[in-house]
Amino acid sequence: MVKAAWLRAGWVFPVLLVLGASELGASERRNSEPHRIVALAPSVAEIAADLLGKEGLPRIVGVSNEADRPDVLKDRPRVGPFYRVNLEAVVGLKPDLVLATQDGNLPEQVERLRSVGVRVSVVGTPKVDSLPEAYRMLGRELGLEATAEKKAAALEQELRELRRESERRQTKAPRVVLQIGWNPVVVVGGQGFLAEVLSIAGGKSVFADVPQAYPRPSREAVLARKPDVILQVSMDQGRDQSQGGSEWGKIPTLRVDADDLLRPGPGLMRAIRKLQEGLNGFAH
Amino acid sequence: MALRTDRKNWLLACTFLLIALGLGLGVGPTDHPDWALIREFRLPRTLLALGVGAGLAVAGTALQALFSNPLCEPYTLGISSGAALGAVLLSGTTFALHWGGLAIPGFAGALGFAALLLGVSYRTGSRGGALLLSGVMLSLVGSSLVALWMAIADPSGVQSAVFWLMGDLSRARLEGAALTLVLVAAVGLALMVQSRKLDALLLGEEAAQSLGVDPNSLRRQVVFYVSILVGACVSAAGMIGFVGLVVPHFVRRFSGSLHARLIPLSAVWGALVLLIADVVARKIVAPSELPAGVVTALVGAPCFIWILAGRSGREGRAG
Repeated sequence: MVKAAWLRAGWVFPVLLVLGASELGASERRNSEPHRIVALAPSVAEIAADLLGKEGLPRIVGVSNEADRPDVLKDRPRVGPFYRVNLEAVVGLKPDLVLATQDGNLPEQVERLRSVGVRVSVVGTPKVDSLPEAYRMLGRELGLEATAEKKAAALEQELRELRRESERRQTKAPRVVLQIGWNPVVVVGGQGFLAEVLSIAGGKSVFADVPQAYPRPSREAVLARKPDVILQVSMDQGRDQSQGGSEWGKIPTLRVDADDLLRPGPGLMRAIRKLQEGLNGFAH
Repeated sequence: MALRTDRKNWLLACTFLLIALGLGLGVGPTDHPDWALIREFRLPRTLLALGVGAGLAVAGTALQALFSNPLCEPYTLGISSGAALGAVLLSGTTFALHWGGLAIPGFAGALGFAALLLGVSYRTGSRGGALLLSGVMLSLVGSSLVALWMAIADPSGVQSAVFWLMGDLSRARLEGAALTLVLVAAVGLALMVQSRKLDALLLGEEAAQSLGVDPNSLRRQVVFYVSILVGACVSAAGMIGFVGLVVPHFVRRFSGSLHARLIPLSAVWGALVLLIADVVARKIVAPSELPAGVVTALVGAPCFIWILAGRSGREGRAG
């Protein structure tokens, strides 16, 4: 009887050893370069793709529905929209690294993924100046520190040039409404990422005194603030929701490429430069 | 004869439930899921759908009897608005992130509104009409406060709450789902104990009194039980419409109006209806997901009209 109990107990040690070894293996894997990456938002997918380069792109094995740049990502398995990804689809891809954003993805979904043992890196870009830091952080996660440092330094240099250019060109910044929603009208207020983008491009939001990041003013309130120009950004996957600017009467309107502007990624500097060029005609 | 019909009804319900269970565990965005994937995502979701569907159907059955009103549903009394208010106020906060999501503030909001309603019922003497109207008013206040919050709150907090408000089973966790099932089963049993009194109330207040039933006391008890049911269901899965309204009517068509039969059969049909709705919600636009509440509303409304048309047709022919 006693012998039988010992024999049974004897099984425990090899099992523990195997379990321990697999756990060690798991922690070693956690620290190694990831080869199955899932990006939960288009901005992190673009930054990761920018860092990985053409050869490294096969390491991205899944993306959110909106990720469409570079073209090769269009063929990757989708895991649902960034604002509510399908967690089972994410885990089903067996990722060794999931990339999420602080502002776009739901924090409870990130927590849920972590609770089932998935390694998740959350990239925060609350300010434009955070973008180079996001590159460095992702560079560390992907094992591409040197590439990330090079690209981050280039971004910082470009940002400095853009700011200098805006200061040089304008004595008084044009008064701007940056419109991101149509029904109801949603504009950029005095805080947040897009308010800063506007300021770097050399514009001043007429709603800069509003403490909300994205206030919803009435049409009358927009007209009452007498903007020099209304910049219109379509949030709806490129579909034109505006009525060609006619709804704002004599106030000139300017269309802005939403994908570049709303995704804090490699296209952001291009978007700010375009915005700067567009606003140049309205400078006082 | 009645026993044979009963057995047939149960056999049918259980067969469908087994099929729905198979679908609940078998359908998802991954073609060959391993056990870990099923345990972490599909099993909690399936259990939660069973618990919430059963809870809403039982709550609807009890309220329709209590107020002798076929339009009553679990959300009529405003308790769900309390749950919604509690949940949206704390959505996006650190508390909601680390303390069971929106379930705890949701349940607290439901109990707060239930306490208000019961307080009003003591003042008004628990008369059916007054209680029902108080509930409807409370519901309006709650939903207006939710709308106010959504207009002024930070968009990142709103985003999480919007899906929850439409009815969302995707955030299910095993412990929460098991707790919801246990709570629904316990309250369902407590309502079963009251089934003869609910039958008596269907005959009218005077007839019920002559049979020894105190309608006011019964109303308070049932409202209390329903509050717990609605609080548990809404805080776990948000606002899932139509299950609590349509399922009791559907079950009444073949099981009759005796609550000893109606309550358990409604629970089983409610569970399987919500589970199938969730499977459809998972699959129809995969890998995106529809909120389950959207599917139940889209399918529930035509079903309800069909039931009403069937009933009117029979009554017309009888007349």
